[in-house]
Amino acid sequence: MQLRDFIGKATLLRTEPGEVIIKRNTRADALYAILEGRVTVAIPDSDAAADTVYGDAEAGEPSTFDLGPGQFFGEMSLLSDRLHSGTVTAKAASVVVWAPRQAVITLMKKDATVRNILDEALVFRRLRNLMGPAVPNAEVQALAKTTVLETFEAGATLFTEGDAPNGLHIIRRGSVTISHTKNGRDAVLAYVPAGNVIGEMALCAPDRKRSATVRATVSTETIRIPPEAIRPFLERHPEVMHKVVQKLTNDRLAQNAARIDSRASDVVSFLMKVGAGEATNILLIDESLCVRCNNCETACAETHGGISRLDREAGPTFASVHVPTTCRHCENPKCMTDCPPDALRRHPNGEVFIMDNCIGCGNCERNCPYHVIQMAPREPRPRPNKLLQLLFGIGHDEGTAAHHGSGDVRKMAVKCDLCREREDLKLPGAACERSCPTGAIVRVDPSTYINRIMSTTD
Amino acid sequence: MHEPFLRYRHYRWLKLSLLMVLIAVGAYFATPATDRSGGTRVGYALGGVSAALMLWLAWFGIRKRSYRARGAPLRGWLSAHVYLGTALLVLVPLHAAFRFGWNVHGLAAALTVLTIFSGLIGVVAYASIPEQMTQNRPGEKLVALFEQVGMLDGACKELAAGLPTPVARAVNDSVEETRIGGGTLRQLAGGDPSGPTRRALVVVQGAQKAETVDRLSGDTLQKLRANLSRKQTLLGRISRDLRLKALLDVWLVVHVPLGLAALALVAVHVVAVFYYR
Repeated sequence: MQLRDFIGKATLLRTEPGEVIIKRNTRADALYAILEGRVTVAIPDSDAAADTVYGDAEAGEPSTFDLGPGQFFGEMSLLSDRLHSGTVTAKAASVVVWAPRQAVITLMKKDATVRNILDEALVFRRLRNLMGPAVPNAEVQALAKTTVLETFEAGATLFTEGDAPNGLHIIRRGSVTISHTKNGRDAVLAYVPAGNVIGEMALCAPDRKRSATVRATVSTETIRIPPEAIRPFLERHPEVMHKVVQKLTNDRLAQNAARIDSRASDVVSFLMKVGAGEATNILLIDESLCVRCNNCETACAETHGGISRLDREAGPTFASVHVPTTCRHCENPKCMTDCPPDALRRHPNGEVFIMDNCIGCGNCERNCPYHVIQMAPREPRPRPNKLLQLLFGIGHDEGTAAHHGSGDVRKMAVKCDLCREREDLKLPGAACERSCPTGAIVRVDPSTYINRIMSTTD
Repeated sequence: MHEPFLRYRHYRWLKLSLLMVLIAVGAYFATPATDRSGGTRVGYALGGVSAALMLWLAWFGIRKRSYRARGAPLRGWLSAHVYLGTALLVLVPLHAAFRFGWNVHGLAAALTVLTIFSGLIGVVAYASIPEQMTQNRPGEKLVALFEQVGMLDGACKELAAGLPTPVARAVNDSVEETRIGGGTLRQLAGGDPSGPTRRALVVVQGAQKAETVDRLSGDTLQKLRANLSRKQTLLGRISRDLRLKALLDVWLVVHVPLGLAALALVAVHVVAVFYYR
């Protein structure tokens, strides 16, 4: 019955050789299974390549592998609710089953076998990537089968500095911070999003203790490989121990040493405190560049019928990093939890938007912990004529409230929609970011931003 | 992550401006010294390029308000505006072959140079003031500071109600007579708006020292003093914020009209040159 439902929602895709099926840095909208043909998955080695501002950063040489009939892809991003980490291209003419995200999630909830298969695939691929080609598939598979699924609430500790190691964690969903206590002060060393491995340092030597504390920034799930499974494996494969674990450890130790006193670590702590851990796309202002001209707000209002969905001034600031009050497009949006007409939706690019069937009840406005939703009149005021406005003062000022008349005005919830209207007009980027004269404002995936500031040690 | 406008695309516009200046200087010195003037081929070319540049620089005012523009983002435009505008400081004297007179042509050049300098003041202001503003008011809206002053005023009035008349009057003056902001010049001067509050503080401190104070009104006076001190600090921050914002904006009040006047004078210069040739 469940399967019939599932099949009903799935469709077949036919692809030509060279056709791109999944583009890197887009959001998971489906799970793909290959019926016929072959596809190539390419994952860049360096995540630093994910630069949304300059767009000209050099990507690392991608590691690629092929998949054939009976295999599936897209599960990593689907399970972690993150952007796709790689690009999938058809190698030969292929037939692929496209199963929409919601159908897969429903099936996973109802059927433990499906969940296990997907989890095992996630673990297997992550381990496969980590271990290198020398380790036989069967051994990696055996290791993948020993895993335990663990859930942590936001703020909960995965393990504490000085603990005996409890294995290797692969973050399935959510994100964590790694921190170290020095002189009684908690310094954040790294922010690690879903899809990554943590806890490898303590595996280097049997008597080694945890060297840092790891906390969930949002509700997080990890897949843990217990020490009794990973230790014998590493003993059998000293080359993995040497190449992978030690390299990871050394890299991280070097980074940690550099970061412990750096300003970047304080900025990351601040960002986590204000909820950036659950954001998929956050607006940040560098206040040392911001000349307070408000052109961002005006541009926002001009794009959205006279009402700015951004309050530049309001919001927390640390050092010169300011988080203005506007939607962060949360991973698990609280605004979506109680919408009677189901008007809040999520676009494949991660954007959370409100549809026209909004009844203006205000539930989302109350549920949003960041106060980024406001109720606004449904009918926007027409755009003013710039010349008439300039010469004779006819019409309202640019970027001012669109509300006209008083009395009963039908309202609906509005918030940042990542400039959907501009997308329809084929205009590039978000209006606020493009209208900033000094480059102070960026709309960015928080993990990209954090990786960037963490990699420039000051 | 953030790309400051001066560093746009690895200083693309700085490099292009330098190249343009180099070519202009090269062309100028390639002309025999006796032939150097605005009327030679090189002179016309330099003048034409400068006039076209000025029109384009003025277009920035329109581009800034074009929220549906395609192409480069606004920070790219500002980067080009600053570097190409500064290049005019070399191009204009080369066009005039360093000969300036007390006439309409000289006035056009003078206005152009003044416009550029006012713009450079803007660049300096943009580089230095934002940080001071953040330090003065981190993560708070200006409105929130005013609201806090309002709440303190309410609390002070309530506390002063049961106190001797001089104290109550001084507190009332602090509430009624505090004036913040005003015109641009007053904001720039950054006059201290906390005069009435400071006077009230002196009165309260005096009352505290008086021998007739009982314990109850002693406590009230202490609270009043704390509130007035907080208000004084807040007023200082508000006036500093207003002053910095005014400093950040005031150069523009000069730069834009000067720029338009320079454009008009350049038009007069061009017409005059060709009409009276």
